Amino acid sequence: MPHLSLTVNGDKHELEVPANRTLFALIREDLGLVGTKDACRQGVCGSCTVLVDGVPMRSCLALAVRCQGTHITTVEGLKADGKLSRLQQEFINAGAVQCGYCTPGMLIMATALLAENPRPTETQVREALIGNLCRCTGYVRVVRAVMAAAS
Amino acid sequence: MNDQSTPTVARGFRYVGKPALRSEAIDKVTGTWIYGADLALPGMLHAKVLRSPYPHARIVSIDLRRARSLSGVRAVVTGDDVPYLFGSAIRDEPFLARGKVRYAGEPVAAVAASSESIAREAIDLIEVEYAELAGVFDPLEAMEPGAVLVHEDLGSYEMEAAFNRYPGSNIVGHSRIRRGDIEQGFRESEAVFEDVFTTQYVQHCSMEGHVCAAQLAADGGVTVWSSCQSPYNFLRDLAKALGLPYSRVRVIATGVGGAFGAKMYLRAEPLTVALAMRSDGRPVKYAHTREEEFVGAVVKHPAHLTFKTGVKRDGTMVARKVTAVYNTGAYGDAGPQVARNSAFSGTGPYRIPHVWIDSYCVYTNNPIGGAFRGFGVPQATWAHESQMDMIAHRLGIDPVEMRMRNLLEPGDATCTGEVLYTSVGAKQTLRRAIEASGYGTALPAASSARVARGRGLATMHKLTNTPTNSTAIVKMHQDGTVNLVCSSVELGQGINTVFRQIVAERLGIPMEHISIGSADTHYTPYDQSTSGSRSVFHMGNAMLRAADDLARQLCELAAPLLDAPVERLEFRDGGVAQIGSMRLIPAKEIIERRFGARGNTLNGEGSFTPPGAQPPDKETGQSSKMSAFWMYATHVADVEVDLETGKVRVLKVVAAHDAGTIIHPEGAEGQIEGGVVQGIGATLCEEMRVSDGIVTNASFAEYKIPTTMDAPEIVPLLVEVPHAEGPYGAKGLAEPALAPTAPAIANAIFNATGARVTSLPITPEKLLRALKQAGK
Repeated sequence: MPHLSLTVNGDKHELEVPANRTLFALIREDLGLVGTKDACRQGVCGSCTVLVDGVPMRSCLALAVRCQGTHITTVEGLKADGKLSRLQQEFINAGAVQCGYCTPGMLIMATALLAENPRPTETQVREALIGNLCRCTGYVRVVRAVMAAAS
Repeated sequence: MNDQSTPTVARGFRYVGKPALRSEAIDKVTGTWIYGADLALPGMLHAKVLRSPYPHARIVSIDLRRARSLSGVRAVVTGDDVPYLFGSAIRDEPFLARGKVRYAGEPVAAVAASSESIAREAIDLIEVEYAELAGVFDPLEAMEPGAVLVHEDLGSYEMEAAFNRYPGSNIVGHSRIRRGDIEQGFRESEAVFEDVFTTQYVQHCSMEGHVCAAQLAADGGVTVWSSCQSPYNFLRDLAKALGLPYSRVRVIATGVGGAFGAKMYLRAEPLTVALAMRSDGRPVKYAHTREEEFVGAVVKHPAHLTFKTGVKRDGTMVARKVTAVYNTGAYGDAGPQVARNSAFSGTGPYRIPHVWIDSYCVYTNNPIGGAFRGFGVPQATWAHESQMDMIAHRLGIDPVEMRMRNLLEPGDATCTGEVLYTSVGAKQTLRRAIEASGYGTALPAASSARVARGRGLATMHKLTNTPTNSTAIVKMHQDGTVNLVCSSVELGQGINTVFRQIVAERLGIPMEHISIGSADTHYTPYDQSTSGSRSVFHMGNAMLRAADDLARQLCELAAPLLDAPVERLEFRDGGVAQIGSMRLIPAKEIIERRFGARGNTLNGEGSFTPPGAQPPDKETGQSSKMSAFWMYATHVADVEVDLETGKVRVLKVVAAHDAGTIIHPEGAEGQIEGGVVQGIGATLCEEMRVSDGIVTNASFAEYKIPTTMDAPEIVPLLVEVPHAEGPYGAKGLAEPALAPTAPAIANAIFNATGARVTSLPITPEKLLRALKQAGK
């Protein structure tokens, strides 16, 4: 089995993984980080999005072995110094969380957006999140939360 | 008419109607809230299911030998291994198909193995020989004499007595409403209009699909973990199917990633239990794939609705006859209740003296129709609100005036004969939505001549399943902090927060001192279901009663400490005091002084069943009290129609809802916003396509739900008309949030273009045809 070394939320991991193992399975099953959500496994819904070297990626479509030497951030890694990130706090403040199943993917995608564009327009926020499906909120408060975090 | 509405802020509440941190928000933004899909149990096996590729076929043979011999496979089952039937209103569904399959996607065999991939491999090794049978797919054809029968044994199934079924046919439910004299009503009418409306298959698309785990228990019973809405429905239906005492079936609710009705009745659980019974005590987990969610879970019933309505020239409604046909697919599931519920809303929230409604639930060889947010009422609303505008237009009456003339007020009776006396906010929702939307003023001009803009509205009402019970325990620890113990499930709708607010208000203790766990039927008391918009009203009342019981116990314990008779004591601000006295002993001190340092817990218990409820008469649908409460809503939609492409864009939706007193305003607004966007999806882009029983778009790539770019500006309006029996005046909210959206959009399209589409979804193709007919 191929040997893989990568850093997840700041922790270094050395693993033997089958070549066909997805990053999604590695994160959820091998590392037990279940905050990355399982919803379509087809790369359509955005629930399993993680950051690979700062770039958002659908972990269900990414092969783990392609992530050699990368730094990965999942929702569990968004807190800094034990405190919620600004985005996490604004999601709570805005009431952007209902069932919460899409929330990790939304937070990861929005984190990537704000890293690249700290002052997005509402349209830019909506465009950035177009691939993250939510069935509960109607997106109103999700967009509001991201705008608040950017202000 | 007096406006019963009183703003919550004026009523001096400390927690009710105030902002509150969602109980589980931090867990959800940090990824630590555990859903069913995240469940991992020691020694857990993984299940996969072989599903029928044919919609109707005899099973000739099943060869399991190669699957059984695969290394890592622990159990393989077929329907013949578990000869049980399950179901809610009717027990008609086998754990896995037996003898024949009735829909494409029906479980035929299931495997439990040490890994998901081995289970999948084993499934591929199972060989099934089928002999295809002629199928019946159109519900109207299925009702004809001589139609192919989906269930030859319909008469043999156990069914709730409230429903009519016709053995020897495909009709598994028939509900009637008979009120006044329908023929006289049409004779007295000055104009009579008959129109047909249809709705499509919509899938719930909760982001977390159906998922459960099952394990045999040491007492010979079974433990089931499930991402579910109704732990006690599951307990009852599993116990009945397996012939187990209720006390040996244990249902534990996991975190739930969206439900919307789909997780109200057993679905993934029976076959998982069947595997667990053959897995040497190891737990078995089964999670639907997204494709299985489309083909093998449940869907919203497509409906065929014929509405014949008689009116006076001034718009006064006189008579209505409805024939509604609900396509429930291969098994009953929630179908008979959905069709019946739809009948109860056949007149909409309007006074109509002469009513005749037949609502049929019909088997076909299609995917299973189940509960979907609104339980048949969105389908009825689509018909009655589309027709309302069509009639108004034909009579030359303003649609608002037409509605105001007929809307229910206190003292009026519903079509089911219930005289409404409290919290009748139909007119208030209409008024508020009209004011806030600027209805009657011109919309801003469109950017191009090929684009037409218009505005439309729709009003609706909905009942809740009645009578049903909720029971709660409010448990106080010796430090004075409290656990709420109940079987309501946090689905994202925010009830865990609402219950904490309600108990904080009643006991006068801070919300931070109140925590709430999750349902486990071994320990949490009965609750009928987290559905039907019932939880705030029913469980909220149970929580109040439990809090009162706890307060009474504390007063009794405090009496000797205060040297006062218990009648002179009251519980307030987290402690007991003599009435009128400033001196208060905190609950913590009472418990410690009475029980010593080793302490105790005090359990207040409260049980609530709405008083005075009467089941509807089976022949006429009449009842003096059909529902614990009625909810009302009006939506106004602004749309833009591209006349060349037929594409519709929703610009704005104003959504006014009478949910009684609002306990958690932010949560309530979020429910409305999410409902409106679900409503937009069901109106414009969502349709699970089923061709001769085969689902042809079973993925998120092919079945499009609204995205951030489809969601318009939404203005939620909370119209608070307090309910006399509700906890602090609250009633329910969640289901109506999507129901008026579709007809409001259709009416707005008509307003913009003069084109009328009566079939959902309103696709560009249908709209272009309608535009052509309208001469555009």
